[in-house]
Amino acid sequence: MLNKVLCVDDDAISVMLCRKVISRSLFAAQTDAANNGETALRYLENTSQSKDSAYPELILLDLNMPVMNGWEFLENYEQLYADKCTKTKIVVLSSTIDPEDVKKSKRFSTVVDFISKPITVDSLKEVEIKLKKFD
Amino acid sequence: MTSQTQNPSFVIINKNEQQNSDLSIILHEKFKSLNIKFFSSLLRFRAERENNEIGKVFIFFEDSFDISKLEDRRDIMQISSENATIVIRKNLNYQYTEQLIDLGVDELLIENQYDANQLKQSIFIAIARSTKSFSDLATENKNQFFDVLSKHYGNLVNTVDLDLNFLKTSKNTIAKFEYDSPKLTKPNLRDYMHPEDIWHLEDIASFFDGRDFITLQPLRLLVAKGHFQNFEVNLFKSPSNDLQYILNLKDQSEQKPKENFRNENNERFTAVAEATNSTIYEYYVESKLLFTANNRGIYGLIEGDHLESYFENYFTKIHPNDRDRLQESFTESFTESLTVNSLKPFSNTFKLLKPNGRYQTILERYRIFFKDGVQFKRIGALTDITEVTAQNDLIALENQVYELNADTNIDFCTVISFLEEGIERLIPNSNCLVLTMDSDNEIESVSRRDHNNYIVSEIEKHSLDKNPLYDKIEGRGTIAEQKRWKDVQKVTDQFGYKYFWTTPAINKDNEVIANIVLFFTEQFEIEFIEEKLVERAKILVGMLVAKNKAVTETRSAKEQYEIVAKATSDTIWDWNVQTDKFTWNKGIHQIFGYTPDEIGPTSNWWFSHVHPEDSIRVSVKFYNFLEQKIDKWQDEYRFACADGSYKYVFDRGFLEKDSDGKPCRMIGAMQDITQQKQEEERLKLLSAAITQANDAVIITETPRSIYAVPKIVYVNPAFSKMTGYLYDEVVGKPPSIFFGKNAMVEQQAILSKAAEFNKEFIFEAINRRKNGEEYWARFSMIPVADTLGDHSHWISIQSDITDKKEQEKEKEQLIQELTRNNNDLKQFSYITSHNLRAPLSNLIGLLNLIEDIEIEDTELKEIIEGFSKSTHLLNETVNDLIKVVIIKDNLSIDKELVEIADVIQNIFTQLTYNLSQSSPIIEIDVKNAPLLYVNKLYIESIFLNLATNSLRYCDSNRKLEISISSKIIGNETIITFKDNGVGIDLNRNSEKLFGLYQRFHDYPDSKGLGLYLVKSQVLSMGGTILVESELGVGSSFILSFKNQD
Repeated sequence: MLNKVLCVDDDAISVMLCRKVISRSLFAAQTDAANNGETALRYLENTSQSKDSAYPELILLDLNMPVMNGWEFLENYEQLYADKCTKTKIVVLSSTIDPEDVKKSKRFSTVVDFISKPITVDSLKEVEIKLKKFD
Repeated sequence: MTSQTQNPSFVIINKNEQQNSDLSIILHEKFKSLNIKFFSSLLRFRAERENNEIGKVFIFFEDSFDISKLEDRRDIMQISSENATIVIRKNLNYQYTEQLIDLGVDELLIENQYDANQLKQSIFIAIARSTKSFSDLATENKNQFFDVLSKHYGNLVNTVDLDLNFLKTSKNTIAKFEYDSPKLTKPNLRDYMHPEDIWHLEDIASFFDGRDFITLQPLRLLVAKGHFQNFEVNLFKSPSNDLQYILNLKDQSEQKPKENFRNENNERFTAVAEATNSTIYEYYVESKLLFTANNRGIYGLIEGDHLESYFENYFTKIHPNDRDRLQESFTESFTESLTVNSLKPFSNTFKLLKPNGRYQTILERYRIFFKDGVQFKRIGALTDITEVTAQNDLIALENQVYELNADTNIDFCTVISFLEEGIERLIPNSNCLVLTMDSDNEIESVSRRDHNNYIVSEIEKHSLDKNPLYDKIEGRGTIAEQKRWKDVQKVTDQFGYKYFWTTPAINKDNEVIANIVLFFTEQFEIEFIEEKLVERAKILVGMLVAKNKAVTETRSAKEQYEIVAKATSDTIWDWNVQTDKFTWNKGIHQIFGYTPDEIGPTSNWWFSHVHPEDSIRVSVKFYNFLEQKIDKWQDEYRFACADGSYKYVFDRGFLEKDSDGKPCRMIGAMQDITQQKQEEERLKLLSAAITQANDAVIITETPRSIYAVPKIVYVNPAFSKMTGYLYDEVVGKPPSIFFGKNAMVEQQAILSKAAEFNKEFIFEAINRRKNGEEYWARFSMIPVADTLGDHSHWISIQSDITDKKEQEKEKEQLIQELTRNNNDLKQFSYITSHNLRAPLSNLIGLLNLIEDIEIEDTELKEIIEGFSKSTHLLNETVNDLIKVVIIKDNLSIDKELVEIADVIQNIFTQLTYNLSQSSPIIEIDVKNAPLLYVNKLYIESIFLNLATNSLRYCDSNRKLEISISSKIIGNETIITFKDNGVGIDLNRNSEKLFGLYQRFHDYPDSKGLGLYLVKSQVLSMGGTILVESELGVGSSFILSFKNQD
């Protein structure tokens, strides 16, 4: 079981679903949320300044968000945190089914998987398997 | 020389023995056999007698005296030691110089003396320094010595003060420097100096630097003749008077006797020159002095001038063509006269520039004189032979022209061009253009020279009555100042011509038949000889034109004769009118194919073989002719051949009448003109095609010369319709008047290339109608070559494509609009799909969560189940729609080789649940073609859809059978997907089958999207899909995809 998952999504219901599915499947002990890319970056910054808290092991990232979308977040993240958060992996969680988006996400080395919404217990299991592969 | 013979055989000067004993002995030639011993003893005697009083002994030895034969040199030594100066007249070898120095001689003055042009003597003056020196003689004022010395050897002895003011002057000096005065008119030596040389005399005192005398040479002094001559200036310190110098001037350029000689010569020159009409010159190489006599206007030759400056400019004044030759000739003549014969005369002819810019022809004859192996002077005569030469040149040109003209192989134009060039040669800086006026009184350039043709083609454009070329009198002037030349000025400006000179040739009917036009770029001054030349050329041109006309006429007569001759070689018939006997020559067999036995003997046979359609017309005309008894008859008709075909003939008959005037015999010649007729017909059709065509046709003649402008020779009616220009407005004009100028310039390079390769060339350009309206034209330029293969014409077909262009424009706009709309729609559909997908996925996620919750309320459970079902259906529809959008947007998709078996495996895995429900019999045969070159995702989607359809629309009455097979046909792989389901009524639905939202069955979960998606995906991969189906039997979907290359 993971310690901490960060769910980046502007859709509150989607976040709620994440929390529920994660807790039901005992995927992670703690699920934090950020409602867009910028908030997520701020969250990571706070984490880096606080002594006690650790970086999340997984970030579930939505693509279509206001203020800063998923792609922009990924670009910033790779520049600012990729070196620090060595244990953090990112999984894109999006309602898109455009294969172009899947292709695009593969260009980011920190992205380990691309799952279509809605998040399910099964899809989390697959993520778990993927994460293990990377460890 | 005569002055010398008056001298005594030897002279002993000893004027005043008490004071000084000066001894000067001059031995004349006749004493050359004199015993040297006697001579030396004489010297000794004098020396002894005078004891130590002897100041100077001058001994002048004659030519043949050899100092080496001087037996008793001590004699000289003795004298020398007694402060003597020995003057030895001799071509003295320098080896003795040393010996003389040994003898106590301090300084040697060597003076070469020339007589006329030959070295007569070298005088060594050996000076031994002593208390009593040479200079003392001057202070003694015993002038006899000076007289002798100066008279015979050109030394001018004077005394001057320290500032070079003359104190005493010798007579010779006065004679030399003053024209008609008993004494010097200027007080100071410097006054006679050339200004540039005065600086030499600035600080005299310092020059001496401890020496007794200084020699300055050569300095220029103004002599009585009014010019400068070179003098060696010797200044001696006077031992007796510190306030004066002895000034000894030695004329370097000439000596007195020579001057006399020259003066005499000059007189002779002048006499000769006057008699011969030539300018005589005498040129001294050393002094660079030139003397002329009877200068007859040889330009730039100034008497007494320093020829140096003249010769510096000399070569620039000589005609460039003559320079090298002249230089060579000078060098040659120099070497030749040096080595072979010094008196050999030479001659040159060259052209010399005059101030008016014209050249005069000069004949120069000269001899070179040498002195000591050095060129000493040249005497020559210059004769202006301009006129004679021009006359000769003119006669030569005339002869050449006559000769060319007599050669029948050389055409008129070549002769004229030759004449033009000849005139240009004889009139420097002229540009000659010979024009002739043809029978229609139109100007014609008969030149073969391109620039001339160009000028004439421009001149032709202007109306005739104004044209100055038709003037019957000669005209000269500045083009810019003549109103009537104004039109032509544009042309002449291109060549820089500013002045003209026209000379018309007029025939006996007082008509201008030709004009000799001379253009000049520079102001010109016509010389007499040139007027004469043009006058003669005019007569020549007149003669040539007349002859050419005669030749042309003869030629046409000859051609006429040839036509007749040819006609007689055709089929000849001979009709005896009285007996009606009608005979044919062999032409009837050769041309019409009749054997003798096929030919009837009377005129009837002839008439019966005339084409039925022509026979009435022919016979009416023929009998009319017979009745009217006209001599000649001719007609065109069709005549039957032996094989039944008809030939067009042109038949001409001549009627012979007997003495009573009754027609007795008729002879006719039938000419087969079938080919001409056919050609005519063909041309008629062709021309009809061109005349009737909607496309404008323009035929342009390409000029032979690059200067000349192409000319339009034909345009069709469509051209007039299209452009608004009428036939007469454009024919004969250059095409630039209606071709869009820009277009032509742009295409020019390509056009000429097209002409070179004889290729059609097509371009589109904006053109202008006569009314200024612009239109789009498509030009097809077709180069046409003449029989020699040279490009001769352009056929240009022009179609008005303005409408097409506008349509294209509209189309483009439409496409742009559509593209924009499409993009908007695409964007819209993306957004929509996403906005649909997002909440939809939430719904599904929520439903997933509910699934794990036990719901006890049965009604709620039912509601949630319905909710769940609808949500999932909505989700599938949305997903399908999004897929469609993505396919339509991705025109090019990635293809790879996909194993069909893998695809089937994948979809069956996905459909496990459905399959387990109906457990169909599945048959798969993809061994023959196991691979497809497609997009993997798409093919999976396609198979999934087809399989889902099969499962969904199975016939409940029988067990479902699905078969999937593949095969290769050509370069395509065909997959057949077959089931035994309910089938589709293709008669009703075939067109809508693959449409969007088409549903053919009333099944609850059918969305009407599946086949639309399948078709879209197949097409996007470049494949095709067909369907075969029968209601109640089943459906087959046949897909074909191109194999990988």
